[in-house]
Amino acid sequence: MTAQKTSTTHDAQMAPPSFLHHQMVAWFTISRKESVRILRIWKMTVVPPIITVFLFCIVFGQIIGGKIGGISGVSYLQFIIPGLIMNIVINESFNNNASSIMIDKYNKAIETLVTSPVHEMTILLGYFSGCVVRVLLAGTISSILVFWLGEITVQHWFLFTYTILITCALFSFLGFINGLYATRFDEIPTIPTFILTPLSFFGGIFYDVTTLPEPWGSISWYNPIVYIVDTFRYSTIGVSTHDITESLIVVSVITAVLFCVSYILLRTGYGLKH
Amino acid sequence: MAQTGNIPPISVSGVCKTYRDGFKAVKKVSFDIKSGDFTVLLGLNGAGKTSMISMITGLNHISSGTIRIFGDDISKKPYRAKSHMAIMPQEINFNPFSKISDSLVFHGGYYGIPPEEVMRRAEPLLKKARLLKKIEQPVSSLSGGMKRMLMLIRCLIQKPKLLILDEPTANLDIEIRKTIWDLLQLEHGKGMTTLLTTHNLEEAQILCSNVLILHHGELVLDRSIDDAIEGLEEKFYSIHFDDPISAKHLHGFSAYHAEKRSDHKASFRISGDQDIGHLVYKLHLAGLKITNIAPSSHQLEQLLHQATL
Repeated sequence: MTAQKTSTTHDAQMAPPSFLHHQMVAWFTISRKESVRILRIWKMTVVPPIITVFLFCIVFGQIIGGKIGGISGVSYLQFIIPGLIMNIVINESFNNNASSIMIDKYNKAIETLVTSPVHEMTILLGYFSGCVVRVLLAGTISSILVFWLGEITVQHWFLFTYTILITCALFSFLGFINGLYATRFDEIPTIPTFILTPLSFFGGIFYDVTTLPEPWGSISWYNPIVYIVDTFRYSTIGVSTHDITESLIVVSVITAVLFCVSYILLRTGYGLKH
Repeated sequence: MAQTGNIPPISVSGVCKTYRDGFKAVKKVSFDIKSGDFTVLLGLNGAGKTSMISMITGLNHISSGTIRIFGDDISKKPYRAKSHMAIMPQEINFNPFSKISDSLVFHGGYYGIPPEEVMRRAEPLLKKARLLKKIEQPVSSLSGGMKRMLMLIRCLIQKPKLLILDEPTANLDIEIRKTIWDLLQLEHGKGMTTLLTTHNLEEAQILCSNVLILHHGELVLDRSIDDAIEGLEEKFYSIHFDDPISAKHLHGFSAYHAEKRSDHKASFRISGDQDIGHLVYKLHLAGLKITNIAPSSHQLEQLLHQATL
């Protein structure tokens, strides 16, 4: 009886996992792999954004901001802090996936993933989770520091969390696409240099976009970062220049489109298969 | 779980591979590999071996035709098809900064194996490869041979029904090569089907029972090694002797093209009009005590040469 029971238990252990269980283990594995990588190079992944946001707050917020005075009913320091935090989320999410995919392509570790029975959706969610870990590490420390400097308390926690996650997702998928497309390491900074940085600087981090003269004011609303910064600013200091629901819809739709593009590229093996 | 008993582990049907530049790497290739076979895929450089392996493993798109792994089409049911096989690629593809334990856990995770189960399966294999004490070291600290050993262990923790090896012992010293061969023979003995590509014909001769030869993208031979060798006009044998041999001992065997290979080993060629039994008798008369006779890798070389003429 005991022998029979032992045998049954062993068979149960050896039974192949269900598809869902398999994908859960694979998702956890990719997330863990990314987290281990992020923590191993913490001086490169976690520290720089914290120092950058702190310096921006001191120089622009306190030294120059003191001379500018208030904006939209709050101090200049309080006005720029949400945008600076979002800037961390944008850059860290993008850089994490773009560089991770490129490194895995370079040392061919990505082939192990491509030839394994991991669903494309699981791969995308795994890499997205890695971005969340990096954003949480850098973003949480930065937020505590600069919220304390600017005497900010979060006004709308749900919106605060949702904006961070949706922004993280949007730029992690964009970084993923860049990683797939890149064939050389020097192709990785192309999007950050020529697209993300200009969009961030013209995304209302340092000024109120409604005060811009035409046509710049209207053109600004074609910049998705304006919606992200505006929504996040509303969730933290309660100030916004646009309808929050509309902003959320715009950001969510762009994220969904980028997710679909990443999924299709991965499914067709773009940049990975011959 | 579908029954996989009578279904061929690999079934390739009319497969072609044409790259974007128009180069046709594989031309209408069809073959089946039976369950439990140890098959070698041979061919000269550029014959289409890597393209074929890449299509079987799902790393390359198939231009036309179908590849089924235990009945599951690799293009239509990729997740099921891939779950049956383990792949040891030609190039070392670890993240060099990962720890040995992490690299195993991550690989196992892709196949749905939880970390504790991965380590349980890996422990005896790591012990055999003398890697157990180094488990917390980064992969970059290992020698090339040890990295390859780790790649094989990574495959074996999957307990695959089908193992695909792309030049697993290229540029390795004889000690690691033999350890890898021992591990492969041990796992093969448990019923695993294996497909190997190699340029090391001695390796193919020792491990494999069947041979596929590709030439200019076409399959020119698909037989058991014994049958294929049987058809050769000339056969080569490696004969091991109890005592050390010298050139003087082999002097009277020039008709057999005798060549000393090591202190205790020599190779002999048997032509159509000669007989291995007669050679053994003559060696006995010469006072040479034979300990082992094995077909030489020369035979596969000759087979390859004949098939790719």
